Amino acid sequence: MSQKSLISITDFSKEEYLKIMELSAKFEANPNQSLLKGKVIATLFFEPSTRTRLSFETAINRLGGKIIGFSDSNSSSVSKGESLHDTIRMVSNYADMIIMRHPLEGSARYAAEVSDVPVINAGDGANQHPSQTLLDMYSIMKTQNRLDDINLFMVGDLKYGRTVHSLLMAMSQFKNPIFNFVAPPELAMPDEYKLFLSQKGICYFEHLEFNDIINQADIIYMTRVQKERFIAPADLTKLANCCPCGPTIG
Amino acid sequence: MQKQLNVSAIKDGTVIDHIPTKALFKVIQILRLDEFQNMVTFGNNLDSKAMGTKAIVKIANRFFEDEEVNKIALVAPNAKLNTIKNYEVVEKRVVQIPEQVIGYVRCFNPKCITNAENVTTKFQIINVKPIEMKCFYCEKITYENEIKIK
Ligand SMILES: [Zn+2]
Repeated sequence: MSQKSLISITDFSKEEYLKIMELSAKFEANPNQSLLKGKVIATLFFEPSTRTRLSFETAINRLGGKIIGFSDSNSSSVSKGESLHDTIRMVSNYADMIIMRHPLEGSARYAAEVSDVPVINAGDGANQHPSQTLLDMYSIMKTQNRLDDINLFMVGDLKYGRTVHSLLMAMSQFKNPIFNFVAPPELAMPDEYKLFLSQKGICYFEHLEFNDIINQADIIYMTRVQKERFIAPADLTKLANCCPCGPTIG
Repeated sequence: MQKQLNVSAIKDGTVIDHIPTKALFKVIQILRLDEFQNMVTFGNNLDSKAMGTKAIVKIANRFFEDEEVNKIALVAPNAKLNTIKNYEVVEKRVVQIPEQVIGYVRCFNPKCITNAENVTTKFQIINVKPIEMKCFYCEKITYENEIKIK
């Protein structure tokens, strides 16, 4: 792979996605390898995310690497006002790779620019979380045996959900995808993504509620609706009416 | 000739004409004319057949490369440049919107890293009329009416 850092799902070509899928299957079949033996990997979590951190740290351990880092910015020099620039410069002198989560959008791209070692973006605010999208694609590949010709239903919070946007961008690179969006108007897919699909000549349909058409789905992608996104409880009720499983809150 | 008298003529230098009146101070900021040592004269709210009112800037003994002056196209897309030598207009140019905008515009996104740290902003122009530019860092789009000079 030509690029060293993993920042945004839009940085990859179809061929690169397929290569990653192929490698993922090999790692799944044989998770314990010594690819990172003798390497130090920094996990810098400027905001806490237990699940993401544990999954990365498990992977590093299984591949034989050693971990340095912090799990939230209160316990690091960041709380003393050190800039991201300086933290990354310092850590890139110690570690062979940096895995970073940061609340500000674009922070991962900036870190990759400043760092001498590769950076993996484990979430930069509401912007990108590419490893999560790769996992979603891997799940589609595993259950459908293909990434072409997928009829994908996206349900729930399609407005704020960063994972739906990333998955949409990634899947639009493959042959003949069909997108079906199920959401109330308040949480509908933003126009910029619909425009993106139109420009690529990709079919999409919008629905206000779950109906029989769902039987045509290859994949149903449910998003978690975050309660804090809503101003009015009425919006939540509307969503509950629209999705049979109702919104999950948390 | 009336307009010529409003803002005094220069012997050698550059005249930037057809600046929207609202964009005058942005043009000054972008070209850093406030830091310039030679004579600079401004005229605002001048009559214009094409624009109603317009602004004009005359900068003595200063000549601009395309790359430098094209920066102002974001706020003054119809600006015209006259290069003056010995009181004569020797060259006329129109500004062009650059493909990339580096360093002088703020990202509109308050959660963008470029607004939190001292990062040189970088945008790709994705639409010209109206201007839409995508931030290289946060990937969000800044629209024409949101353009703020750094
Ligand atoms: Zn930005």
